[in-house]
Amino acid sequence: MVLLGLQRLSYAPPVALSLTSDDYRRGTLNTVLVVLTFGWNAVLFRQVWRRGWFAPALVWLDVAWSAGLLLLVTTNVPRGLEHEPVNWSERMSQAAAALAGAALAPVGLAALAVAGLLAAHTAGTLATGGTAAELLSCLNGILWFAVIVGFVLRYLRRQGRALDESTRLRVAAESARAKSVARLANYRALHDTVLTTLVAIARGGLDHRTDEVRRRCAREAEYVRRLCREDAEAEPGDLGDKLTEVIAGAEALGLRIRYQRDALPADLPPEAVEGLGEAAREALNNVLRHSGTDQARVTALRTGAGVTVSVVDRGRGFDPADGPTGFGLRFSVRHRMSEIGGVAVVDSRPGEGTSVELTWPGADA
Amino acid sequence: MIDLVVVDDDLMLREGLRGWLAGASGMRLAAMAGTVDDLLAQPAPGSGVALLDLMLRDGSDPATNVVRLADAGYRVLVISVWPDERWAAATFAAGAAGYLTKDHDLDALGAAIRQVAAGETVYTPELAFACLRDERPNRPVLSPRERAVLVGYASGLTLGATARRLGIRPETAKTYLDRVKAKYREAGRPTYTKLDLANRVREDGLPVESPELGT
Repeated sequence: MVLLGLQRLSYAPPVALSLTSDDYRRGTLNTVLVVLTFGWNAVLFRQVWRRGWFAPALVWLDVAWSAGLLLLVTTNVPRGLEHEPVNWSERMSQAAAALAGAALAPVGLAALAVAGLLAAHTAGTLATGGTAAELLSCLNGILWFAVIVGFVLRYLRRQGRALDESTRLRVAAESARAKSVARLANYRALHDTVLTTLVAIARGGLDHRTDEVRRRCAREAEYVRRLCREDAEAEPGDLGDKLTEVIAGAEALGLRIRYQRDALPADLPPEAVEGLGEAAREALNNVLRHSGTDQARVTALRTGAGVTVSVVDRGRGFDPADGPTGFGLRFSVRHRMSEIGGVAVVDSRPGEGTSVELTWPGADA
Repeated sequence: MIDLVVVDDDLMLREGLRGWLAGASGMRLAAMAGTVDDLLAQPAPGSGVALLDLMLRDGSDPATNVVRLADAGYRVLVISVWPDERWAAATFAAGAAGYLTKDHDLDALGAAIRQVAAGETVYTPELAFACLRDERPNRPVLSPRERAVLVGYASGLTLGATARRLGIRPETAKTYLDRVKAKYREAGRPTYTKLDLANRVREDGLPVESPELGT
């Protein structure tokens, strides 16, 4: 798109200079055509700027306009000067041919547009009685512009598609591998926790009513509950996997966590997943160290295009005005979130517990 | 004295409750059964609090179970091993007084039963989350403020902290929760009226059979 724009821009000075020339049969007509052409190009590129690419209708208009120019400007130039720079319509028709070759699909339509330009050029030349050699050289110019630009663009697109496809396959393979790793990790965790506990109780001799055993059972029940839910829900996505891993890590340190989540977007960028997950880990570490409770909730909700993960405890809390207690938490968590363009809100009052709200606003925000 | 009836098909849980209630003051176990049919066939007080397991193994519809127990005169507290948001919301619309996951300790369960007996609603983070995630076609429309209170409460904030963060008074936050409840009851009324139950159109669009891993 930029190249096509530059090509046109490079034709602008000679076209503008034609305004100062008095070679034309009718100078006013030339001025009107030049102004209209500049105006049309301004409109064209404004549309392209907005939509990102050329709409077919606009390309056809451009082709038609250039064909008209070929007829009007060529017949407006004095005899013998048809193939000199004063006949600027040739430049515009080359630009239109390049545009048609690039932006019209399928190839048949592009060829049709180019044929139209060739016909207009032939008509213009015939009307002014130009020679066959001059005509052929110009037709050649228009034709090859379209062919080369069209070919290069289609080649690049095909390469791009092939690259996208291979990236997709690679990502799919990696995610399959990650899933089997996660499954293995779950089996291992089930063995080390739930199975071990159940076997110990079944064997007898262990008093399962003691607080310690009950706490352990409650923690492990939470783990199994999460497994069941994750299995029944739709794909957890990368963030769901990451949070599950972070929560399992905090549980291993003795925290009991209740986890609820929305259907999370599957296409979060890896750095957002990493940032949210690690910030949540920091917040859970903080619950362990400072809250005085061994229970916390982790909630992940979709918020518009983004995601909010909150880590909430109902522990002793702190007074935000006191500074030091909350400082480490705020500093580390906020830093992580600002790295990914998100925000962390830490809120606490003595006796009211602490909440850390991590918001990633979405890729477009 | 609160009369308590229990509908749960998990024998171990029922025995655990029986043991706990024997020592609890202010409430007594009036009847126990594995299905609503069995419970209603027994001689039972016809008033008090019913503890209802969300997913019974007989595949009965949780919302219908709530209505049948409520029609029999009980205030219904729904309990579940793991939170199932869709059905939690449906039972709330059908008139349940609360929704509690079974991982809460018995003291918390006792407090919830007393609340229900007193005619209050037991708002739990799980219930708030279920209302937030409710995607049933006949769900009520909630206002942004109501949703904001639900978000705070669902993520585990106390009602006081939720209110402070929204810049409103705790009583106002409670009012929002009550409004959510009123909207749910209103939305549920056409679906869950007494007469209609037998031929009820399945407006919830939810499968009735209990999930493999359900309770």
